Amino acid sequence: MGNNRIYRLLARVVDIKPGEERLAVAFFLYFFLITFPYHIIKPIRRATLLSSLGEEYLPLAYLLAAVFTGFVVAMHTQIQSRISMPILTRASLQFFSLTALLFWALQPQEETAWIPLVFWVWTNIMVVVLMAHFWLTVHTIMNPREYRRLVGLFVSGGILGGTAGGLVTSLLAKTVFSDYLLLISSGLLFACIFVIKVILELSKQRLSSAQKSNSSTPPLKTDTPKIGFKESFNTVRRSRYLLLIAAIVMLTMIVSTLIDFQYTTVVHENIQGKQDLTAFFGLFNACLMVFAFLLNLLMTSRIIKNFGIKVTLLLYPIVLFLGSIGIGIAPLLGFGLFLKGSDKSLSYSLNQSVREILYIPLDPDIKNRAKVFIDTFLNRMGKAIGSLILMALLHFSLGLNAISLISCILILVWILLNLKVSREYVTTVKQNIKLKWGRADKAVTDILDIDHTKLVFDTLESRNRSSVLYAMHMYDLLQQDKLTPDIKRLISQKSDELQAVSLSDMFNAEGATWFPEMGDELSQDALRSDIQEIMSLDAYQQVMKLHAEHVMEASKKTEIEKMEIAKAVGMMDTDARMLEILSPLIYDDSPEVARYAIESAAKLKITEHIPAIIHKLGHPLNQEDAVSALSKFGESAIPTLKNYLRDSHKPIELKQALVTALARIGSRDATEVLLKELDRKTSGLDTEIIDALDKIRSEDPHAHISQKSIKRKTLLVIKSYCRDFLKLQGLKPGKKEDEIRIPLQRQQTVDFMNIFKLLGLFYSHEDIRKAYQNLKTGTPDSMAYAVEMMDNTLKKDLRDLILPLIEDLSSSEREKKFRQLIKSLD
Amino acid sequence: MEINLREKNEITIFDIKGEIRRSEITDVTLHQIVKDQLDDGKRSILLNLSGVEFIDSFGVGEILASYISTQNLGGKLKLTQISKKLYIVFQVTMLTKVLEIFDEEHTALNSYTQD
Repeated sequence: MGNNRIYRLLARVVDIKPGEERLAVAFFLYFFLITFPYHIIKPIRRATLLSSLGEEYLPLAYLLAAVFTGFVVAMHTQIQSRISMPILTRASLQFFSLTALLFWALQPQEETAWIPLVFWVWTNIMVVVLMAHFWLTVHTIMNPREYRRLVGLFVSGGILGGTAGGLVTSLLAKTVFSDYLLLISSGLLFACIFVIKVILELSKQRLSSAQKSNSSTPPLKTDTPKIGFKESFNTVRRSRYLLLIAAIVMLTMIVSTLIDFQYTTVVHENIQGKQDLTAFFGLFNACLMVFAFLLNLLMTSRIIKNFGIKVTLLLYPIVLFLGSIGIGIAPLLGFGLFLKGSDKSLSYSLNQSVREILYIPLDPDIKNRAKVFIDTFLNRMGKAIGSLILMALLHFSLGLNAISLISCILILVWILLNLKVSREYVTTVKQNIKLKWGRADKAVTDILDIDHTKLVFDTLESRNRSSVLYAMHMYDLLQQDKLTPDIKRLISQKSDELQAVSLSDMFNAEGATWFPEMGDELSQDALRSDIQEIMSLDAYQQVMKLHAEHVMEASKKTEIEKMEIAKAVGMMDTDARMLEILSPLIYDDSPEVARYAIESAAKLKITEHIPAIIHKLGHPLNQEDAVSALSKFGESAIPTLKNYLRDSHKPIELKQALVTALARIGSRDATEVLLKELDRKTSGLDTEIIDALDKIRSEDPHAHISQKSIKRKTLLVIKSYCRDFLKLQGLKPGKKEDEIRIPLQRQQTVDFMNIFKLLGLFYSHEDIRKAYQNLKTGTPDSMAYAVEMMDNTLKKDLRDLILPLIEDLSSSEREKKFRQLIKSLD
Repeated sequence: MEINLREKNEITIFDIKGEIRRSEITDVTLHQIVKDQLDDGKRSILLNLSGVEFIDSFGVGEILASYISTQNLGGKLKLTQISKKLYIVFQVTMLTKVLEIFDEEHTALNSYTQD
């Protein structure tokens, strides 16, 4: 009951699924309990440093913080390679809680110069370590789609903690309780340890229930791999994608450091005294956090969802670019507050969320190694570089406008890198899903020469039927140079069966074996020219024509003779008299005779025979022969195929076979005919045509296919899919309803497949195929990556239509979205 | 040619008897029966050829067409208990490079779980 209430409450603000609420709340609290104390400590350390040492010590403080944090990070990776993450996370919290107590005790001595600097460095180390632990825990437990849905909630927890910390500080800074602020921070850090225990417990429960419900679910890692600093560095160095993220993080930190100095200088020029400064920084931070919280809650997810990773990545640097120009021109408190305000609020909301998304498609091991290095070490290195730039500028007495100029240049580079990383992100997501199967027709034709395979079978079969057919098959094998030793051995295995005396005699005068070293004794070219010469003799043609006419007049007993004639015609010239007999042979009732005649017609390629071949497309036993023959005719068959396809009187089975023949031809004209037919709403051949186009595209990824008509058809299929879904939802259980349900479910399966085949015609065929296959048969994670890839691949108009079909939604959510979708398509 | 269908561990087994040749087909083709099974949502198909004495080029075409239709839908079509003589022909014609062929039915059935 309690959980249901939490779920209902959270479901109003975030896209949460039932069962996720406890873990989501725990992560919210975890982030809250880190940022709360940090935002108490942060204004104290800034005010302490300004009042004790002045802003000229700021670059030194930045530098020391960067150097020491880098050192701690290096140590941390060493420790991490020895201790499990859950233990390390809790130990760190205990350490920072205790040291906060120590600084609270040292507060009376803060006038001592080293204490404000040490306090500054300690705060930096604390936030870096605790944040890294938080995000590592999130990434270990969540998959990309869960992360996308819930990250807004977690970040809100952090922002709310920051707001609370800032407000508490601003309220208590000028009271007698100001001395207790560090004590409060210590207590909050200690409380966080218990939240982590809960998170680990919940993730274990989640894992065991996921394994029960899906045996293919990969185990979630509650522990991170053991990694060292060197390995982390090498991991980043070897990956272009990680190098881009690293460069962006560095630039972000350099710019942020420059902005922080500009802001602090402007504030210190207007506000004096430690308590006033603490109260101001506390209040400013609190306001900043409220703004960031609202921005995060109301805008972050929407911006990422509606505009995608690329645009979201660009927003932050563009705003900073404008702010930097402003403060460069007029270094006023207002510009300082705007610049710092937009830096921090966008950093905590948009930038934080989108940057974490960039890590998601990485392999968990690589992610852990890289994240530690980038988010902790490089982050600080960026700060160090920023502070060195500041020191250099101050050394040459250059002011805030020079800092702004440097910022603007760096931001422009940052924008360029963001554009690059958004492209790399999609590539990295694609690498997470694998193609499970390719189109088998292509795979089969790549490996097998089907015509040759059939010829071997025909040769074997003809041994027992007709010595003439056998001889002609052997001649075909010879012609094609396919009479390999293996095949010779195979054919000569059963010598007790009928032998083709004529041909074996040609090969071997003694007739002892079928295939002695025939290559030495018999020239294939000589045989070929002898046969051609005989067949072209006028006398031969006359005699054979008479024989054929006699055979055609005779009864069914002459089937084998007809087969022999049908086969022989294919060996003749295109002007041979015997060719007149071919059409009647194609139309012959015997599928065996028709098959040999169709094959001969395909060899001769005389267009007059095409209608007879098309006629045989309607006969199941000759359909494949006819399709194969028409594909051999190629372009010359297309006009006739097109006319037949358009003829409304022709049966649908014949038209389906015509589509297969056009797909087999696969030329540009064949594609055009198919596209035009697809555009006709009454054809009833949608599935066959879509599959034909998919086949053409899979064989030639550059095949030109008009997007306009394909897009129109995609929308129609999507609409039909949604309508069928709604109809299914309206059906009650029962056998009577099953008569409607089963065909609807089948149609849905076909439509879903067709939608992806259509998308594959104008997006990368392989990517769309991968997405489809993983959505149909993948693990929960590979399904999530497939959705993520589609989200980042499709253009907005199609994305809005496809995502409701593939996202993990409840039936009621899907129903609602489908109704909206149908409305938008009407 | 006679085809009997049975099911084991969600695998549809086609027990085929006689000759898979053009002249033996009277009603529906093997490929059509396979397509009907695919339409019913079946994706694991095993052709048991223990009772098959001969296959002609039409039969080879039917087996290959059935294989292509099954694979294109993400399914698996395999063969079992093919005669020694036929196996040699399949080897020489390289059909064994495309089709998965098993000696025994149980090994063929087990292979589906390993995919």
